[in-house]
Amino acid sequence: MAELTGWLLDVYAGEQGLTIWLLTDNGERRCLSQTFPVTFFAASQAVRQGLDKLDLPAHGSTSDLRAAWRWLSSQSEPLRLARAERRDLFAGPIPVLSIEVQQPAHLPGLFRRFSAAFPNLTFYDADLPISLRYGAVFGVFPLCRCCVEVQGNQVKTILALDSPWDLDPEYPPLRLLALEPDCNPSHAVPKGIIFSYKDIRYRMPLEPVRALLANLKSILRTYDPDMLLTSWGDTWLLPKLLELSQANPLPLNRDPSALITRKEQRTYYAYGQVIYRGAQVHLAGRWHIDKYNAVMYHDYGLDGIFELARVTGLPVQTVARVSPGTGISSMQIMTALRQGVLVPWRKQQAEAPKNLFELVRADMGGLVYQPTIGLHSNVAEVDFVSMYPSIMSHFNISPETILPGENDPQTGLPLTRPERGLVPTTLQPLLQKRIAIKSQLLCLPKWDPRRKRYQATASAYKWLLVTCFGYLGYKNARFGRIESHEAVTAYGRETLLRAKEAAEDLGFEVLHLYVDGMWIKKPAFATPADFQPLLNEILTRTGLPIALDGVYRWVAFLPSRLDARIPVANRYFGVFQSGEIKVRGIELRRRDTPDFIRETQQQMLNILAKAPDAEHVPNLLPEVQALVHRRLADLKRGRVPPEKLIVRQTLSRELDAYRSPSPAALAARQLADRAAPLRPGQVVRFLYTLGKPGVRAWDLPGEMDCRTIDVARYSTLLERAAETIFQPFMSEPVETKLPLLSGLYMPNKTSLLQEQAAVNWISGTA
Amino acid sequence: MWPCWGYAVSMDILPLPPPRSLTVFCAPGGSLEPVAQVMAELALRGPLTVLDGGNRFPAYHLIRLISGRIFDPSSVLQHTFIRRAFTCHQVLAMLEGTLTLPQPCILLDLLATFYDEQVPVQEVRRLLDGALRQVERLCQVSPVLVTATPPHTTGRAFLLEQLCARADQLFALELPASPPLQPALF
Amino acid sequence: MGRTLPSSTQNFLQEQASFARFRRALRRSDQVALDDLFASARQHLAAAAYAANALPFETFLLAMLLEEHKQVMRLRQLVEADLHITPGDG
Repeated sequence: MAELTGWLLDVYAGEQGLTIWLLTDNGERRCLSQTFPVTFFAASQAVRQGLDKLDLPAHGSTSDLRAAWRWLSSQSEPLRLARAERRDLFAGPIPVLSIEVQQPAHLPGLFRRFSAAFPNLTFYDADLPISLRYGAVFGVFPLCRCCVEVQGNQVKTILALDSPWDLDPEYPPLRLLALEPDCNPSHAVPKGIIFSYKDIRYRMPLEPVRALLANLKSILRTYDPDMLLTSWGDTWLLPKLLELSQANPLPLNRDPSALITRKEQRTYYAYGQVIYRGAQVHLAGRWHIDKYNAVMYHDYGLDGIFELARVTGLPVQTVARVSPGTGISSMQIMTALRQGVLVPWRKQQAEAPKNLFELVRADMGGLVYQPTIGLHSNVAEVDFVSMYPSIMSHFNISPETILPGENDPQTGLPLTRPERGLVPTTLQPLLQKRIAIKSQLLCLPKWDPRRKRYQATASAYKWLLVTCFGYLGYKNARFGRIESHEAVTAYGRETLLRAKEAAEDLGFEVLHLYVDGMWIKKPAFATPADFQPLLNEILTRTGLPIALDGVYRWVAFLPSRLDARIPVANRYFGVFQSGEIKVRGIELRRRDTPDFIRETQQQMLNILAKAPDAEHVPNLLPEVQALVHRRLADLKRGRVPPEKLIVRQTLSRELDAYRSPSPAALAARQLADRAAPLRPGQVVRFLYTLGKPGVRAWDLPGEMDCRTIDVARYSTLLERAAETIFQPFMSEPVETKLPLLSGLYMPNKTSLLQEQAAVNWISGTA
Repeated sequence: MWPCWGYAVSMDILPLPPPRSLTVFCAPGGSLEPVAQVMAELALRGPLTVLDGGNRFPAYHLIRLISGRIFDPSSVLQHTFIRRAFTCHQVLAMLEGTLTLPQPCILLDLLATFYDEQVPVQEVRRLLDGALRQVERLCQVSPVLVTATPPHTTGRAFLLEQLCARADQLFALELPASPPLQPALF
Repeated sequence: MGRTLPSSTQNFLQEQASFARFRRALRRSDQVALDDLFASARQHLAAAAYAANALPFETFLLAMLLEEHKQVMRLRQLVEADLHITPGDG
C-alpha cells in the first residue's frame, strides 16, 4: 500500500470501475482505477404523488415494480437489486426499487433499455454525472488537493485536503499546449497552425501534413501536456487533426483505452434568446478547452473555469462548455446526494391550484420604478448584494419549503417551512465566498497577483448566482417549482419597497429603482459616509446586505427614444466621484453597435468625465461637439477603416424562416452557399452598403470596395449616438446651443424638449 | 355595472359543456375568445377549475368579462381556480393530481406541450394516452371542455386525432381559406 | 416557466390601444391632451404592477388623476406665492 498526495484532475467511467487521474506532488501523472458501483432507483408514480392515498387510478402501480425486478434480474450486467426507502424532496420517504450497477460504464445503456421497457415508473439518480456521485461519496472535487492510498494502480481510499470554499487554493502546475489556426476557420481557410508551450511559439503550415502531424505527435509524447487550449478546437481544429491523422492516429488522448468523445452542434432557446453551441471534442486523461466554444471565456477565462470545476464538481472539460444553469443544477444535485435526497430524472411537479386573485398577485416580476428623467448631481447608487440568492438563503426559499397558498397575514408574503431547504443550503457557501472575495478585492493593492483570480472567481460566481433564481422557475429544472420562483420575486419587491421607504423616511429622494438597485439623492449629501446611516437602516429593515456602489458626480437618466416624456428603466450614463464612467442601455453597450460608433460615444463620455461636477459639464460640450464633427468628417472622407464599421448581429431563426429578411439575414444569405451555413444563434458580420441589398457580409471572399459603404447610414447612426449623449444637457432649444445637431433627424425636437422641461418641472427636478 | 373596456363581445359561438361529457374545441391559432366567454359564464354559475397546458390563461380578459356582468366580482374570482403545467410530463402529473369534483373543468391548450419536438414521439404518445385516461376520469362527474390547436407539423397530427376521437362533442373554429373580398372604396 | 399574465407595461399598452378609435375621433388638440394623460400614467407602471389590481385600468386611471393633481398642487402653490408676494411688493 502506497500513499500519494497531489491534485485530482479527472474522474470518469473506465473499462473497469472508475478511471482517476492524479497529478502527484512529484510531478507524475498517474492513471488510477477504483471499484465504484453506482445506484439508481425506480418508484411507482402513484406512490410518489401520494395518489395511492386518494384512491385515484394513476398509472405506474406497484405491480410494475415487481415486473421491473424480474426484467432487471434477466439482464446481463451484474446488478444488485433491493427494496429500500428513500426521501423524495416533495413526497418525503417513499418505497423504491434500488438498482446497484457494479460497473458505472454500464449504467447509461442499461437505463436506456430499462426506461424504455418501463416508461410508467418514476426514476431517480439515473443520469447523474459520475464526478458528482464520486464527490458526494468521498468529498473530493476536480482540482482538489487529495491524499490517495493505492495498491498498485487501485485506489483504496481518497481524502480531500482542501475545500472548494478556500479562498486561495493551491493550483497544480499544469502543462499547457496552446494550438490555434492562423485565421478564423469560419472566415477563411487556415493555412497553418500556431503552437505555443512553455516559452516556445511557432507556426507550422498545414501542408505537408506529415511534418505537421509528426511535430504534434512529438510534442504530445515528450512534453505530454495536461491541457490543450485551442482556438476553434471544437469546431475545426481537432476534427481536422482527427481527419488528417486517421491512418496514423495522434495520441490526443492520454488514456489510450478511452475514446475521444464528440458532440454535435446544436441551437436552443434559453432565457428568451437563441443560443448556438458548436460541436465539442472531449479528450480522456487530458483536457481540451476551446476558447471560442467555452462559456464566458472572455469574462472569466481559465481561472473561472477551474474555480467552477471545484465548486460545481463537474469535470473541467464539461464545466468549460455548460451554461451556469447546469453548474448550479450540479451543485444542487451534490447537496441532494449528500443529504440522501433522491434526484428525479425528470421534474414532474405541476403548480398547486391558485384562484384568480392569487394568480394576479403572484405572477409578476421584479419591481422597476421608472427613473426621473434628466441630469442629477451627487446621486448615490446602492445595490443589494446578490439580492435574489440572498433572499433565497435568508428567507429559506426552496421548492420544497414553500407552502403553496399560505401567506403571512400581515405582509402577504409567502410562508416557508422552517427546515433548511435544498436551494438555500446549496447557495449559502457560494454567497459567503463571493462576499469574502469581494471584500478582499476592495483591500488588495492593484499589483497583487491574486486580483485576477479573485475577479474571475467573483464573475463566475455571479453567473451561478444569477442563474440560480431563473433556474427555480425553469420548466425542466430538477429542483424547480413555480411557487418558489414567485416567492423570490415577492420578497424582492418587498425588499425594494422597504428600502425605498427607509430612504424616504431619512429624507432622500428616490430617483430610480431597478430590480436590486436604488438611485437616491439628498441636498448636501455627497460623500460615501453620508449614506452609511441609510445602508444600516435598510439592512435593519430588510435583513439583507446592501452596499454603496458609488456616488455619482452626475448621472443622466434618459427617456425613451420614441417619446421624450416617457422614462426608460436602466438607460443612463454617469460619472462616479472616482472618475469611473458607468453606462447602461445606450449604444456603446449594445453588441451590434459598430466599433466606430462605440468608440466615438466612449470618447464623448471621456471628455465629459473630466468635469469635476455637473455644473461644469456644459463647458465641455463644445469639445465633445468638435469631436463628433471630426468623426463625421473622417467617415465622409473614407478615413474610417471598414473593420470599424462592422455590425455584428445574431441570427434569430433559420434563413428561410424570415418573411421580410433583416439586414443580418440578408448578409447571412450571401454566405449561404458556404460549406457550413450559419445557424440560428450564430453571429453574422456585415457592413451597410449602397444599393441593393444594402448589406455586404464581412466574411464574403474577395476585396471589399470601400466606395460602396453607405456613409449616410453610418452618419445617421453616429448622429443618433451623439444625440443620446447630448440630450440631457439640452436645457434650451438645440439649434442655438448646438448648431451641429440642427441638421439631425429628431421628431418635434422643440416640443419634446419643452415637454421634458415640463415633466422635470412637475416632478420637481427642473 | 362596470363598463367592458373596449372589447367586442359575441356570446353565441360555443355552448356550455354539458355535464358528464367531453367537449373538445379546436381552433387554429388558438383563438381563446369563445373559450373565455364560456369560462366567464361557468365562473358566474359556480366554482370552476382551469388547467392551463399552454401558458396562455387570459386572466385579465376573463376578469373583465366577469366584471361586466356583476358589480362585485371578488367571490367569483375566488372560486375560479387555475393550475399551470409547462411540459407534457407536468400536464400528466397535473391531471393525475386533479380531484374528481362535480364542477366544470376547462383544459386550455392541452396539446401545446405535447407538440414539443424535444420529446420523442413514442414518449408523447404514452403520455397523451395517460392524460386522456385522466380526462375520462374527470368527465365521469364534471363537464369538461378541452381546447387544442392543430400542430405545426404533420408528424404530431395524431395527437389531435386521438383527442378528438374521445370527444362527445367536437367544435372546430375554421378560418376561411381566403378573406371575403370587398371591392376597394378608394 | 414563462409568466402567464401580461406585464403592467403590456397591459397599459393594450388598454391604450383599445382607445384608438376614441382617440382618432378626437380633435387634434384633444389627442395631444389624451396622449399626455396616458404618458403621465406611465410614470406609475411600477406601482400599478405592485398593486396587482384585477382590473388594471382602474389603477391607470388613478395614476392619471394623481399626475393631474400634482399639476394642480404646483399651480396652486405658484398662484398662492404670487398672491402673497404681490401686496408686499406694492
